[in-house]
Amino acid sequence: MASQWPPTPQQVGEGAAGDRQVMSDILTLGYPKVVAFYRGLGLAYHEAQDLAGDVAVSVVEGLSRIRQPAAFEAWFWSVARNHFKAFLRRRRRVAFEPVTPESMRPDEVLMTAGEHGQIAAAFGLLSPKDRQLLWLREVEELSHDQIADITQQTAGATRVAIHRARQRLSDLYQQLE
Amino acid sequence: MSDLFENLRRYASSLGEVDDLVTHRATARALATQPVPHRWRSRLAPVAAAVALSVVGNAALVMTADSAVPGDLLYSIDRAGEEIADWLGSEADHRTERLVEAYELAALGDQEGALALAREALSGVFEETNLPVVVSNEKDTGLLLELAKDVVTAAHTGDSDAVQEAAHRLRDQAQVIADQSKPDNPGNQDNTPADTRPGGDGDSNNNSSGNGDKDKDK
Repeated sequence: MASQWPPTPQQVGEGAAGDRQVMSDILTLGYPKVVAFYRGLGLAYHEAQDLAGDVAVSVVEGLSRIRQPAAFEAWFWSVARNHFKAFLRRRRRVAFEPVTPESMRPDEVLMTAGEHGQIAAAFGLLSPKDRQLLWLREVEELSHDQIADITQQTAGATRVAIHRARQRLSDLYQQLE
Repeated sequence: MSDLFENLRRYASSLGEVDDLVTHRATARALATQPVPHRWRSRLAPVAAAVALSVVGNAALVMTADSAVPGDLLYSIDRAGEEIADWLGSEADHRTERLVEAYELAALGDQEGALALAREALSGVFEETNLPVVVSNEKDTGLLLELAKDVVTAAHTGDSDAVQEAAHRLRDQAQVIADQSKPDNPGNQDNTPADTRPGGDGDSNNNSSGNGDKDKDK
């Protein structure tokens, strides 16, 4: 049973072979992660849920074609990122806006105004690229190599980009203090 | 700097708090698209292609109907699509879908229809005939739906103790509401013997669609 995230290569293999229980466990753990990722990128709650649902469908449809079960996590986040890019194309949105109170649930507004207000505001002011990089590295704790696979850049370029994104977040955070 | 990223992780964690019901529904919908294993796929490919060509025109209609609730023109198409999916071996989570529809109907003010759908959602997990047929206010309906959600969520986990516990809470609350409604509305007496209602066996999910139509008509 895939009660851990990320699933082991064996679990990925079982899911790819059609084990519905393993697949269900993978989705149950992965879905909230993608919702959070999209919320962090500025989508409204219902948009994040809908788009994460599309990711779940893509994972089910595409898992049997994954060549390296060990690379599941990078593949999973690539799927999530591609859906996000497609979403933006559909909406013809070229600029990101910070997560605003209008797009949040009431309980989120209260929470953001309190404990997480400063980090939410600083993170929301970053560019979309910086937000994705920091999320994958600091929140999902992916390796530089995995992130390089996802963003289709070299590991060196990814490492530099993440370092700069960290610095920008730190600067913004201090400015808001 | 480490505090900064610790704050970011806590913030991220708060953004990932998703209702179990929402997660179950997304998971069930995704699993409904799970491809047939390869060995069958190769044999069935020509047949599947022919079927796909013949149904492609209807597919969009069924997809559109998926979000319909009882009373909508497309609802019967939604249910027919589910029955066909069941027949083809899909294990889509109709329980969760019925419950979501129940919430939607309750929000539209149809308390009786909402309870009928909740009864379907609970079919086979809980003695659904214990639910009152009619309640006097939205608050009671909302309370029963929340407790029904707990039963369905517990059923998803496969934990029989949790199912029993959640069912116990639902049964108690349903009894309280039924008792409260008796003195004020003697007409409810006719509805109380739920075992006389059509389709009250609750042995199979496949029976649920028929029950729901009867409930709606009632």
